Amino acid sequence: MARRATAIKQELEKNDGLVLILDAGSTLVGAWEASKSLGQVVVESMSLMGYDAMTVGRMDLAIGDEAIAERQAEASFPFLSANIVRADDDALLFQPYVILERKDRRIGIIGLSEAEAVAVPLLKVRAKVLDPVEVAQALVPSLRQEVDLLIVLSHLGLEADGQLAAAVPGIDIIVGGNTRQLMRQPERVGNTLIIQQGYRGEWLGVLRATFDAEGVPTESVAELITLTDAYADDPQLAAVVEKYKELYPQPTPVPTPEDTATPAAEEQGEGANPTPTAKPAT
Amino acid sequence: MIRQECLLSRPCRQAKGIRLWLAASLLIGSLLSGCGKGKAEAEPTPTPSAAVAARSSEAQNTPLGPELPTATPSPQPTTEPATPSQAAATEEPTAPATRARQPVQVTILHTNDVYGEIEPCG
Repeated sequence: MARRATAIKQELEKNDGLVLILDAGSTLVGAWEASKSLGQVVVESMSLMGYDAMTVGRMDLAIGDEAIAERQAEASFPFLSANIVRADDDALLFQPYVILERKDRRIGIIGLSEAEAVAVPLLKVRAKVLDPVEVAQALVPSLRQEVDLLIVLSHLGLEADGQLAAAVPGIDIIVGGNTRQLMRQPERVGNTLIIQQGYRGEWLGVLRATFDAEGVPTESVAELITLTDAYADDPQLAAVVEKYKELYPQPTPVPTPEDTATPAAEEQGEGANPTPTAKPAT
Repeated sequence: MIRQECLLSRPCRQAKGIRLWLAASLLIGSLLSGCGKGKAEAEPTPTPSAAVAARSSEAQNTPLGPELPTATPSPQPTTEPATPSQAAATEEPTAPATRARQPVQVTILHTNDVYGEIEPCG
């Protein structure tokens, strides 16, 4: 986290153009301090780093509806999902999109969540996930008219992102997650660029893109920043991390037979997928 | 169909509050200034409350909520008193003014599936 803050600061220092900081979901809990604080350490850190928006995935809703409402109140950025609704009356549980105004440009950002996002035990409200393509088809045409750049923050997975781009013209960029691809370059489906980068915060993705007035991407370059110790800890973020480590000390680990199996399991099933496979709908 | 309100998002609720307050102000204003005249002035801007709410939010660099009038095809959850002309206007899919799209050069810094990792790399 502290390395990521340094990498973000370095990028902001050398780039005085339009820069957005986004997270594509399943971010708030999983690791010890984050889970024990119900995402507080993550939200506090992301707010300090200047995140502009995140979408909601399963590992965000896992803290339950009350806690996620508290985290949203603490955050300096919106949690977005246009397709998670209350089951009985279809009322949205989150802000569906945001419009930001930066550098004389208007940017719309829509959040879309995966079908499994609501399958978490702590969610008290009966919720359901609407079809993301149908929701985007309803939202994009009107929003498109009001913004210069339209981004979807998606936790649908790369293949579904490709299908979304093919089915819903007008989306400029899909920043995705869930399938944990390490993408050397963005996929392009129609005029939509699709990107995602890894998992567990080990990388920071950078996408530089230019769109002309017709919405055609004329340039796009992705960079993959691996957050090695070449990036010094940002002191402010390091202090936040330390505070939560003191608040929630980890129990002394007891070796078990499963410990030896975990790395292999991660390599096979839960590691980053280096092979991008965005597939447009046929 | 999606109801255009959100239950867990504070900015959303704030924007809705602003919208209701503005709608009430407009109604009172039209009553005080003469109903006929007030209606005529209100008609060219079918959803003035949403537009004004958007401007005020942007000025504070606060994220905007789902206040755009045609965000989804479902009816707006409106408690605002609507004149017949306003009701008709909100049914039109092209109610918001189309603005000329500008070219954009953007850099996006992004993460996903962080799973609450705070160290060493995350």
